[in-house]
Amino acid sequence: MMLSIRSRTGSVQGTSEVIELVRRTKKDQRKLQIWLMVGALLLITVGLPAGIWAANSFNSFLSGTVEYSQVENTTDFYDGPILDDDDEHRYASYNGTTVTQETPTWDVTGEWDQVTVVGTGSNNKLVLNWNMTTDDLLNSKFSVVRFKTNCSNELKLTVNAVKWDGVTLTSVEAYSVNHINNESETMNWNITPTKALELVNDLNPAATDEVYFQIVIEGYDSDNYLTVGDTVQFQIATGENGNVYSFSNLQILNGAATIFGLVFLLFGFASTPYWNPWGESKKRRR
Amino acid sequence: MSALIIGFLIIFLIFGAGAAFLYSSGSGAVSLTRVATVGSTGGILGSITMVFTDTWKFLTAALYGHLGLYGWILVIGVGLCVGVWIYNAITDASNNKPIAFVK
Repeated sequence: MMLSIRSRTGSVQGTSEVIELVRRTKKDQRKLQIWLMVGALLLITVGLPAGIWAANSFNSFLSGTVEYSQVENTTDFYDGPILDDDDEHRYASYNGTTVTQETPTWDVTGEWDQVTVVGTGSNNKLVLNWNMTTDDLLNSKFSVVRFKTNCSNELKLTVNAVKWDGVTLTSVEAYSVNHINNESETMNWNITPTKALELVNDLNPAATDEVYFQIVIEGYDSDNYLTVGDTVQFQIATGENGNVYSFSNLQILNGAATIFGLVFLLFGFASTPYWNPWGESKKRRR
Repeated sequence: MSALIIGFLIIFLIFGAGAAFLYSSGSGAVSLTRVATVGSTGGILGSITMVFTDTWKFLTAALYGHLGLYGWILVIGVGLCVGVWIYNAITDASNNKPIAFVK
């Protein structure tokens, strides 16, 4: 039997023309599939990082002003171990072998809080246990933590996220400044939603673990080591966007995950014969 | 299993499947060895690219459940894409006939 088909113009086509039409249609379909494939790959390699970058910048974009609140009350600091032992301190110095309780004086001036080191030894690290879990940070609206220092020594500052399971203290570095001049200095730790998420991932605490941040201030080198009698002035403040429409780090990440998840779902469906808007619209045009 | 390994596996799977599908959709004879070679190369290049971006953190965090329901939407979305690509690639490699858009 002769195979024939009526074309759009109404003419009747023979077997060879039908084969050619099917071949062309299949070629078009492959082209579309390849475009979808390239589109999805570009979405993952370029679109998603760009989207996350945009999400990271979202709060800064919304904010007009950043409002700071100082971290200085006793409740702002955590009574936890400094090392793998049972000594619990909110603030202490550690000289490599011994942990010594330190006592900051709050608001010695409007700008500065102050510690005069009492721990002996040639190289003391001043440790402040900040009462903040990685989950708190992820759920917070902080976009910045501002550190100020003023000391006659050149300093180093490190912020570690730590977890204490009762036996071992595990720590993940969150932020560090390697060299601080021996004058009034201000440092901003700009917290992106993905950084907050990374800390939760990397620390990966169990539900029973105690989680807090350790702010460590130490001398920059052997000429600047903190020893007994050295005075360090500091100020720690968290900065939140004043705009009422700002979102928490987790809300921003969830927003990006939802948008990209739905787009990937569309790409996935579009790659199957079950749903194909382009093909359907082509059919309707005929 | 560490976040790093999970990240590599996810990305390797996505790019391996993607590259395999892309290659097998082209004209000419399809050999499984060639598909595997192209897929692996794509996977390695993809892994290197992605590990240095936030995407990797994002996907592993979604898998860990830290992003909750919204993270799972992302995982299921990416999973569906990867699943369809793999299915298309296998179908195409074995029959030279993709499942999609066949009337």
